[in-house]
Amino acid sequence: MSAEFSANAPIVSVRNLTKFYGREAASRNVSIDFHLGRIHAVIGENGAGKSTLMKMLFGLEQPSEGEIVFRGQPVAVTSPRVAKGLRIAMVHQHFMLAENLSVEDHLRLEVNSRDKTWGVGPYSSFEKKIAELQSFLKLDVPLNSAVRQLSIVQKQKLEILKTLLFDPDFLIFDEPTAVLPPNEVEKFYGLLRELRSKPTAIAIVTHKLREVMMYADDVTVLRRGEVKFHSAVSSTSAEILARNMVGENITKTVNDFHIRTKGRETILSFKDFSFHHPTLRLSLVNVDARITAGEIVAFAGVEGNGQTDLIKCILFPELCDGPRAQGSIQLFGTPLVESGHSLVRHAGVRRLPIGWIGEDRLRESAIAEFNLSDHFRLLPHHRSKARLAPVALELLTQAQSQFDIRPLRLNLKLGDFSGGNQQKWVIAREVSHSPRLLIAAHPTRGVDFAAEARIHATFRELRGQNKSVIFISSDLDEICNLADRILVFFKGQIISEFTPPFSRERLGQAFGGHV
Amino acid sequence: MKRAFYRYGIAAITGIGAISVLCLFAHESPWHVVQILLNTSLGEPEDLSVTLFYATHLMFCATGLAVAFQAGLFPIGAEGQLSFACLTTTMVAIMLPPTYFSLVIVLVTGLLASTVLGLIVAYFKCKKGAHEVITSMMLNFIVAAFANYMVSHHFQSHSSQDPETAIIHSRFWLFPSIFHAEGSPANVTFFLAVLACVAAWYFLEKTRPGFEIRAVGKSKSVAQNSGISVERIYVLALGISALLAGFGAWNQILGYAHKYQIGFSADYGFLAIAVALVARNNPLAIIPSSLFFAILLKGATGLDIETDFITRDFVKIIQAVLILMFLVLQKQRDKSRAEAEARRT
Amino acid sequence: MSETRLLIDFVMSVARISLPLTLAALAGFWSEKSGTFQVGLEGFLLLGALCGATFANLFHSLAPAFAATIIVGAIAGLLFFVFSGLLELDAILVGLVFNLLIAGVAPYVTKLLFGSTASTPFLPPQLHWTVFPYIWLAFIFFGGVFVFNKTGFGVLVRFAGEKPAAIESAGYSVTHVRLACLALCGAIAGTGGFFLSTYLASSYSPMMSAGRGFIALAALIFARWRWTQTFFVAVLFGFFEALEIYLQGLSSPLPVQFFQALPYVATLVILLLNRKPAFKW
Repeated sequence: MSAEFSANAPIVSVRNLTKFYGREAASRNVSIDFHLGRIHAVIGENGAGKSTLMKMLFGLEQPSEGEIVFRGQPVAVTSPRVAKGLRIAMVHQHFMLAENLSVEDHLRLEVNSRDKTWGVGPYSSFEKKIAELQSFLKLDVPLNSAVRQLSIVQKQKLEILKTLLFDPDFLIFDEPTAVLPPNEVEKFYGLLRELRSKPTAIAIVTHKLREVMMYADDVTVLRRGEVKFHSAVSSTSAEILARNMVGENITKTVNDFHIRTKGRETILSFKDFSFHHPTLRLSLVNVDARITAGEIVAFAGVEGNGQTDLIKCILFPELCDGPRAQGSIQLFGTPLVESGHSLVRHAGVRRLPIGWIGEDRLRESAIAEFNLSDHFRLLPHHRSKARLAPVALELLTQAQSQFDIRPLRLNLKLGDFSGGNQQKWVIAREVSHSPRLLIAAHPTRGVDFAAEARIHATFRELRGQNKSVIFISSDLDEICNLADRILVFFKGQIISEFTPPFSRERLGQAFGGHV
Repeated sequence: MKRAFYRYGIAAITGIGAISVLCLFAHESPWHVVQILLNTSLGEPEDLSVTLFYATHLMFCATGLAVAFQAGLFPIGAEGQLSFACLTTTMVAIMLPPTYFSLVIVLVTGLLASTVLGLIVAYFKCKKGAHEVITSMMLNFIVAAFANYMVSHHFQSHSSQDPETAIIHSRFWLFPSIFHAEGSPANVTFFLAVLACVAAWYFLEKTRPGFEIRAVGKSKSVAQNSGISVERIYVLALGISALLAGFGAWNQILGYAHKYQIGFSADYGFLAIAVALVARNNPLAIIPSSLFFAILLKGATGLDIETDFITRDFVKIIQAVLILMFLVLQKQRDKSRAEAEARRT
Repeated sequence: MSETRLLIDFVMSVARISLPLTLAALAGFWSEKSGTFQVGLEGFLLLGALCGATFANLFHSLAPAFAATIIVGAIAGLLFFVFSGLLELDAILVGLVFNLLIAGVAPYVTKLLFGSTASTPFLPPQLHWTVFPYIWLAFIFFGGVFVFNKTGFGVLVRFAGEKPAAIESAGYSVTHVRLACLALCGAIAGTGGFFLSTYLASSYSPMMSAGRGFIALAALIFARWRWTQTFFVAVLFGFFEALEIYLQGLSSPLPVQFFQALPYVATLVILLLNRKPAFKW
């Protein structure tokens, strides 16, 4: 028995939706309503539970508790096909497009997927509709063009076109403007407004406070998997939203080691540095910064806003050899990049007294099958001679006691240790040659609490020895506890610099691009 | 732990079972087949000599392949590299007068020839992004055609009907036989091959370029982030791999046949892939692995004679099943290791 | 003999020789396009040749032998998938082992059934098709054009080779697609082998595939994995082989081995024309 579906009732609702991964709750008691004809923004920091929620709405994950209600009826969205059958569609942040195949191939696949046909399929009956949607979206590309020939905006429009084929009532967008150049953002929201008036209900996951205030109708703030705040956009402000995103109003910091950077030796400097790498999608704009000896600096911000890009430029200066690079980078007084041309290559940088901890440990910094000696040899300093000297036992035992690594057997392979201990071995290796600068990307990701404390202590010890640390993090707690200075990145630029005492609220706003 | 044991058990039983069934279909007991294999390969000194000779070829090729495999590459060109080395060695030995200087040239030519082939594969890989499986496979066929041409058009022996070259001057017969029997193929290069395996092991485990090869093989990205040039490592690995295959010319031409015969190779280069796989790319383990496959190879000739329905090709089935079993076991091991890691991190 | 007669004979021999090559190459297309690197075409060809001669002898008729060969080929393809798709072993290794396995199984079978590892007994001249092989080839070729370009299966095959994740997210199973493709590959290559022993020759002889499986792979690569181009390149390589045989009787400036090597050299040349790969991260 379906309740009469009134025009004011929400088309999709989630009620007390909870999702456990093991013992951790990624979503907890989330209840939200989505209405036709309204753009509803769901915002929150990394790890707040936004993607989990959307995955459950689209059938990529199943809720542990709670229910999803669609047009007044509870439904079980067990797979994306079921979602599409309910006229729910999703445009992912990372496009599911095959670069070498044509636009038409992708549309055919989408059309066939409804009935899972292997045969000729209903594509011919969709051709007219596709032409209409193409002109609606202003996606005027020949259908047989390969996806790799499309611009990023066109690719997104293709993804949107795919979703519109089956007239969805509820459209979900996951970080849609993350990849768009600034001049396209307004056009994108113009398109959303048109879609909204069909009428469709639109949910958009984002962290861009400015855009939410300008274009959305409703907003819900998630933090640590729970709904913290909900309002119509017209009745709230960016400050209120930021405060709800990051937590208490009080500035809480354990770090009272205040440094004046004037008069201290410059370790690393960027002067008017910009560059753009189209295939690898790295981009930085007008970076001017100085890291001095004896300080811990945080490169903060939502992931993907340029922090990693800048690190990569330091470590791989040869990336900057391109037409659009300009400016200079200097490390320990030696220029790495000058006027947009690289002077040193990665192997040369690695031989300097610098340590680097990559964010994806097993893909960037460590090999699980290596024993500890081989692991240390990944640092060029430990393989300087043609005949490999065995890595000193004292070095290993000292590292083990300094970092409190268990178990105590030294003949193990790196993969035999827990994630936290693996990370400790990576850090042990990277500080074993007394570097003057340590760069750490998300050093405590996936690491248990005790290991995290140990790693933080190590950074402070380095600072005490007048060495410098740059670390990337999106965790405000970690940043406020550890950093002497915070540089906030947004869209490839350093938009603000903070010194203690830190205001979490202002930090949160800066993360959202709101200065 | 228990589950791994079951997996090993099931794979082993399936493999042995399949081979046994095939034996029984041919009215032979599997045990009898094994006996024939062992007898024909190890029974008499002449047999042992052939077995060791095969093992020499397998060791040189397989240890070269192991170096390349450890770099994460998969070149299958050992067969062509071996042939090319043998051909050029013979050609040079025929064309040059038997002086001491020529001895050096003859020794070096084969090695140079095979290394050049390896570097061609490296060029295609590094500069053109072409997969080494394809390029090395093409080179195998091109070398075969070239050898065919060279022998039939320029170097055919006048005293023989078979497609082969004349016999080279005895000055160039550099490596004496091990057994003092007429026509015994095993020669001193057998020990050289063992030495090569040990040297390859030392290279990989104890030297910096060897370490870098292993790092690239385990993870290109981590290696790159550690200041290693992946391109240079590929060139090094492919070059060494081809060089080692080239030593087979010392065994075949300078140590035994003293002439180039079309079709001399019992697919050594191809079998060497299996040898290296079974030895898990460890050069020290390649020594026993080569002996094992050499036993199979030599023992196969006995199958023709001693049974009614099983021929020497039956060994190919045994080899294929063995390799498959091995690959499956290895895959299971890697999978359970990955699962354990995922659970921990 | 008049010159036109010579020419017609030559053209006919090109057609004959190209038959197993084109079928093997078109078979390999399905496997490669769906993401399974295929070096086992040699084994599939040999298996088909074995089946052709053996079944024809047993059934005393070509049609059931042909049908049986298709079934055996498809099963071999399935077996291949078990190792490369389900057990996730490296497809190259599976292909090489597969070739080895068939090379061992074939003499085993002929010895058991016919008492010799040389050739199977010769087929009587009545058991000889003249037109059907080409009709079959046309069917496979045009059928492939239709299936690959117009059906949902064709779309799935493309995605299976380029972005399997898209298939999963559209609700299909990549396993099913690749399995079907390998069965198809085995069956079609099997028919190519069938014609080797029953059309080009009148019996199965050991190693009669003679590297054709690898030439077929070379044709695929040279044609950059496009259906129609693959067909024509395979015919081209067949032309080389026919030329090689023709020239063996004459004295020519170019040695026969030149033509033997030509398909492989051509493939290397094509690979040379690739642009330099981008900076690898």
